[in-house]
Amino acid sequence: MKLTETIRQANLATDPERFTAVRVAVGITVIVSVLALIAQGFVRTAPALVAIIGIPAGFLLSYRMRHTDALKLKAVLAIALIISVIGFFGELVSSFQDGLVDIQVPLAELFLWVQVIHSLHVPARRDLMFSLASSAAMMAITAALSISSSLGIFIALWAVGVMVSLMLAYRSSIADLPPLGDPVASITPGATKAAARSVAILGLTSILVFLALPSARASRSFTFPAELPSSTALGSPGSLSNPSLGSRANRNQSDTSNGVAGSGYFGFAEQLDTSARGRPDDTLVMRVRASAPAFWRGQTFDVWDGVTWTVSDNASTTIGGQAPIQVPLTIGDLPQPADDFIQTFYIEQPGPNLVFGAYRMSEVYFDARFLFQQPDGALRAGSDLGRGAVYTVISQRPYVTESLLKVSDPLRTDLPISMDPFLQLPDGIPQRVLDLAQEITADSPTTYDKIQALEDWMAQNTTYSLDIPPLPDGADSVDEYLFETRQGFCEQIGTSLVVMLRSLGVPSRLAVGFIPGERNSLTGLYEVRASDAHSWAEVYFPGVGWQGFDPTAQVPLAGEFEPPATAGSAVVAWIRDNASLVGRTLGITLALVLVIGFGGMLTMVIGRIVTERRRKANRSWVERITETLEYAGSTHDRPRQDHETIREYVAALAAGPLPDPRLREVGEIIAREAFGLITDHEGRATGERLLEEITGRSPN
Amino acid sequence: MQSAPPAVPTVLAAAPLGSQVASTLFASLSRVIRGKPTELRLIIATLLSGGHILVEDVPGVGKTLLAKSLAASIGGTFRRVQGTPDLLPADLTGVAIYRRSTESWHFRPGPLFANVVIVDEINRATPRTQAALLEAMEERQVSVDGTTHPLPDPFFLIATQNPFEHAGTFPLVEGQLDRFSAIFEMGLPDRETERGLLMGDGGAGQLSGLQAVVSPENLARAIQEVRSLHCSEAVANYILDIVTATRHHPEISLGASPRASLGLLAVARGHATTVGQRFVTPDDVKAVAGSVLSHRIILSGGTNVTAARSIMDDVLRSVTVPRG
Repeated sequence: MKLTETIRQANLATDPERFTAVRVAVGITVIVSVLALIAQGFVRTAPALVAIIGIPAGFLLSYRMRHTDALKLKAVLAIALIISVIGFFGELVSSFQDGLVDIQVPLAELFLWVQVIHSLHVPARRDLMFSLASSAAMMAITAALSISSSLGIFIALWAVGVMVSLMLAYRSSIADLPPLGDPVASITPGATKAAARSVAILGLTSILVFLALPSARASRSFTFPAELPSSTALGSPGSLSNPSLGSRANRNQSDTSNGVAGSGYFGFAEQLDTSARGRPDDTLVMRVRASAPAFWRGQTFDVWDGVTWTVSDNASTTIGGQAPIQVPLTIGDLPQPADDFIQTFYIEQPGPNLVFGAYRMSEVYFDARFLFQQPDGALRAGSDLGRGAVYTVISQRPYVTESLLKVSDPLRTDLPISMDPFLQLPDGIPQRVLDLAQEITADSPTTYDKIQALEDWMAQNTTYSLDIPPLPDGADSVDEYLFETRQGFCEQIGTSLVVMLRSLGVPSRLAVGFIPGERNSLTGLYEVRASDAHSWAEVYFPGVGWQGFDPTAQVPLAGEFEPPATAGSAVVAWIRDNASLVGRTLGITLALVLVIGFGGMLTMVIGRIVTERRRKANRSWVERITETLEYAGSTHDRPRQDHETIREYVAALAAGPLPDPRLREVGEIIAREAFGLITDHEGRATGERLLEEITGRSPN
Repeated sequence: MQSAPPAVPTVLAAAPLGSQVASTLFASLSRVIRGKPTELRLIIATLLSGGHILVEDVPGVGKTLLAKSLAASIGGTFRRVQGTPDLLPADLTGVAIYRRSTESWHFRPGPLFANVVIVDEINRATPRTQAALLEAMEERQVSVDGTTHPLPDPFFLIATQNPFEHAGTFPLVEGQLDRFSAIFEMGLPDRETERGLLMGDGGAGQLSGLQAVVSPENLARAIQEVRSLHCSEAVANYILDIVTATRHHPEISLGASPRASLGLLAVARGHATTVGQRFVTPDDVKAVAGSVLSHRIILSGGTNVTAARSIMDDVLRSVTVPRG
């Protein structure tokens, strides 16, 4: 079969859908899929509104026009499709020129447009089934984009809609089944069993596929999501702001008066006061799409005075100017051959303007030209990060193992002078703290072993508690925790580890950020709550860089890592270096293909309009009146079948939807004019008059 | 899918002869044959097309009665032959006899020399006799001892056979079946009609009361008239489409022949006449196609008229009628 013939066959008009229930069920299912997409917030308001109003209206219009050829409408729809595709690529190209490509929104909107446009012309069962199939594609796209579990409700609703639509379609195509609503005969036991079997097989397959699917894995596409819905520039570039800590007065210092600051964590400030009590609540602050759990690191502190951590050097550097923003190495960082570890952060609650990410960030996709880098490598945005902000961080996680850490021992190498700040201890540090560190680590051969020993000791001899007494005046936080209360949370534990390691000569500092959070198995995203805010120790290993250690949180330490892939990484690297070129080439090719395709469609439709007009102009009287009669019949859901003679057809109409005995007379007149020898003008006039009286339509 | 045919229009004086003949015959036959208007109309249509009829059914449903009433309604001569295995061709055609008185051969015509001939149980006659009979039907003449004798005009033959009896029968060969314009099954009457028969309404009791309502001359003229009835190109194409469809149908091993398509048009013209039209419509073609074609196609699964009928219905459903 030739291609053109196939296309022609596929475009042949089929009988309009007669079963309104199928139409309604499909319509509802499509609307559910559209609502699912809109609810995920990937569509702008205007297209969303157009879709919500347009699709039901389109279905209604299709229902009204189901008997017409609607050629003109088809032409309009083809043009609309071309326009929407061109618009899609226009948006893509313009965002390429901005150096930032977020393909999700335009793609979702394109899909929405296609649904709306298609819904305007669904006369037949075939078209409705296409709508249903494309709603499945829509759900797939939505699921791929979604970051919240609310999608589950939509998926359930949509699945019900699909099942109802398919069942109705099946029932209506089997004429000899009893009508719906006959409870006894409507579903036979065999059918129930068969349905149960299908559902079971489907469920089992879905579960198996779901289990076998690789978990959400951010792959190297051309670009990554980055978005700032609202950006209020901060007063001074590079300054730290944390609206979640409450009033402006308290922004740069921890709030010790009431202890709790909702979703705010006092560590995301210019200093960290270990005498502060109270922890953030369980507010969801962000979601992270990543292939593995890691510490989402915010910033570090290096100066300790016994109670408070501060930063020795607060001079920030502006980085960026190109997308993605390249993050330079800072003190202690070492270039490591490592796989890209990609994390996309979706901010849910206004928080600090810190850019979080696993150590060591190498590139950031951010919806701003510049970021500010602190000497310790911490990144700050130039504006507040409110709800809806999205950015993507690519980290190079050092590929370390236990044995590697044992070998590269900071105690057995000459440390550079730049490491001195990370050995600093306050003057009044109690001797018993130093002695304890010596005592615990006496039998440990390497720094790595010493760290393990310190962690084990704290695990055995102290209690993790969020509810600890306030710090007495003049007391040293570490001393109080190790000897007096033996109770503490991550600030006390992390600080103690840093202080003891420093006393042993191991360069270390305190990092603050978040633990990975719980992975939502439906969306595949880590859900980070305010209470996941955390601090831990970072230790410098020569030849490796900074390595996080933490006695409390169960985070797999960096090092559980597959070896870097060899195959394909060259291609990936090339594509990455030439992303815009590749993207543009692909985009233009795709655009051309689509425009040519839709253009072909349009040409075909216009051709058909022309031939149809020509045919209509050259119609005989018999053709005109017959078409009028057939149209009237099909609007009464009794289209004429190919094998029906005009007399049989009028008899069927008169026996059913158009019970008018004069119809037979019209049929006789048409037969006489069609097959007889003589033209009877008077008879023709009578026929036209009768037909108009019966159907309300005059032959046009 | 057959809709009820329109009622027979009252024939006006100005109506063509064919329609007058048709309605007169219809009224006459209806006195005897009850509850079968569609079959009667088809039989009259075949008669007006100048064709012959094969009636196929079990005994006792009125095959012979139908043939007799038809013969009685047409004036002119009427003969009846019973098909038996010892029936010879000469028993039908007649023989040349030597007459001493005139010292010459004299032809004595057989039962074929009549306007209406009934051959009961044609499948009991030997193939040789069947062949002679069918030749006469086709040629409308018989040759005896080298001399050709034309049969009377009109010449109309009704054969009956019982398809369910096989012992001692010689089933008609397909090629010979082709000579029959149409084939009918009488079918059982409905309960109401049968009660009427029991109570003396219709049936053999009425046969004696039948008058010759049509003269042979008028019938011959009507046949001539029907032969030239107008048929539009669209309807001719429709006939061709139907015939072609029988030739491509998966369950038909041999489709209808060109003779069959000519026969279809002829009987459709007859049918148009019976409903008082002066032109052929697709309805006429549809109404007669089953009877005209089902004995002329050979099914892949062997001959069986009932199956052939349902396949013909299938064919008609698959062919697009001309618009109008």
